[in-house]
Amino acid sequence: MRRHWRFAVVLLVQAAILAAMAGRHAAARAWGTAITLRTAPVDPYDILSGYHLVLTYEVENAPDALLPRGLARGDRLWLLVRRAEPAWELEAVARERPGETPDRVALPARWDPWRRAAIEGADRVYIPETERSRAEKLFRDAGGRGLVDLRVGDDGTIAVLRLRVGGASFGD
Amino acid sequence: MDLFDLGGRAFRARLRKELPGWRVDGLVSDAGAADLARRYHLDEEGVSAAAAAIYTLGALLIGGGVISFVAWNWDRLGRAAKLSILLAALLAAHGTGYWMWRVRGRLPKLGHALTLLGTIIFGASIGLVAQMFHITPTAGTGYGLWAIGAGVAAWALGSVPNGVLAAVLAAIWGCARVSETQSLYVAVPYAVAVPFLPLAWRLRSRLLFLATALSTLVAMTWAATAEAEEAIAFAAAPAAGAALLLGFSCWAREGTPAAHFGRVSNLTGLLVLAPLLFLCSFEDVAGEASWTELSDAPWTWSGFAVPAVALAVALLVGARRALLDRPATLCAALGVPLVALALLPARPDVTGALAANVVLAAIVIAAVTSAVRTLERAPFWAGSVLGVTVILSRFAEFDTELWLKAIVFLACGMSVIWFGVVFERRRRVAREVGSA
Repeated sequence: MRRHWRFAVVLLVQAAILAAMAGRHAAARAWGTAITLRTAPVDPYDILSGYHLVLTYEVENAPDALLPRGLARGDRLWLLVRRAEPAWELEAVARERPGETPDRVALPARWDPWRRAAIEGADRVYIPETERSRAEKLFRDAGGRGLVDLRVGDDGTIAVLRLRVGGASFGD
Repeated sequence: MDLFDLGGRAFRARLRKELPGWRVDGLVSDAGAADLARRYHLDEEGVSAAAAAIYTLGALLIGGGVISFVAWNWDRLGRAAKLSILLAALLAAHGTGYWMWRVRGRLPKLGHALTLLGTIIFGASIGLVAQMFHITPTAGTGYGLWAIGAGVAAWALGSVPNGVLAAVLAAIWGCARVSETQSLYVAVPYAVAVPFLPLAWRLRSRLLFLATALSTLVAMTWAATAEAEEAIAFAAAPAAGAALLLGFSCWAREGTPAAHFGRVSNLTGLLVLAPLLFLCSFEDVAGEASWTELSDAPWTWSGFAVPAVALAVALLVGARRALLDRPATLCAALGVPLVALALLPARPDVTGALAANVVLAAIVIAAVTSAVRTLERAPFWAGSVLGVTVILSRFAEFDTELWLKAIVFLACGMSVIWFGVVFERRRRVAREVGSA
């Protein structure tokens, strides 16, 4: 067995990478705070991971009055959203992570001149290829608007649970 | 032996076939035959390279099928089932491959290819996990993780195909990382080169050396261009890397371990430099590539370009005698700094384009004349094609009378045919004299 340790290292490292990738998001899905955001998706095709929708969120389009001064591309931001129906709403934008309560959750973001306060790690939802046509029709009928259910972990990891549009749900 | 000489494989195959007969006929002694076998690495398995290539191609195709299957995003299976299937496939491919290659040893090349398939399935699994959890792969992270997994397989198993895959993936990661984060301009080329060049040395693999060198050059070019956003950065960064390759090839003297990589280093350096010089030979391109365009641009990319040039100069100075035996390399080594200097004036100065044309002409003449002396086919034809391409490009670039263009085209065509016939005849005569 000793002479096969190199083979074991290959398997362990590759399995550990997959486990680490899945672990943070699985934890956020299991124990994170559940929130809902309003979105307007578009639809590219990713050769590695199949069909997915790119998500942008209303809260990313923060008004200038809420933004810190002197923002440069790539700057870290935190979006503080508060509970509302049907979707949570933006309350504040800060450079440091603000305090949170059960009704107020901070989302990590990066400043992008085009997307403005782009939320990190939550901008795509994968849907089965067989549902592609149906999803496209529902988005068209809904004016390109939908709701995204997410969970936010203690470390700021965001897990996208599902996209809801026109009474249907995708990505569960 | 000069820049364009890939050589070796066909000669070694012929020598391997002839040598036993020479020993029987008493043309070479047993000791002499052993020396020849050692000198030309006749014990290396060149013949079965085709089988390895076919197995590797098969593994790549199967891997492509697995990735497409994952990308199909089949929805009837649950997350755990999908992941279990891929993990089982990964384990099966690696396990079977390792058993065939390292444990049983009966089908080592097929086993080796299966370990490559295992690493490709690992990459597909990264895609699936991203799909399962709706993870956004920021800044090429997926490719970076895949490169780590492939790199570990390459180092641990001593696998060239895994190493080549890892080097290419590392370059893709680096380019994506630089583009998306607008940072790490200096670090990315080192991150591509440092893990894999020592492995190429350890495995004595020219293929891995070539893949790493090209991946690093791509990363250098991408990083410099992304930071400076000017044509001169696009030209200077790969030129620095190519100069280092040429310097290394001259420094790697025959009989030393480094000489194993001398030819591939030389060839790669020239194949990168020649197109860059060719681009600069156009007046408009050379004007765009003036150093003055960089005046306000960031220069952190010099963190890899300057050390590469400094090391290249040191190696070339250390190997100045070897340079005299390689006239085309000598022309390139002297010509590149000349072109770099000529690109100092601002537009619309034509000095840069003029210098590039002069250097290209010198390389062509050096390659062809040295080929006529040594009767090597590759430098002769490569130099001829380069020379004709430059001449025709000048006529396409400038508006001249059609009759003049017609004469030049005819002259080029007839010259190539004439010199080609003469060269091939000289080769045949030399071969007949040698066999007599």
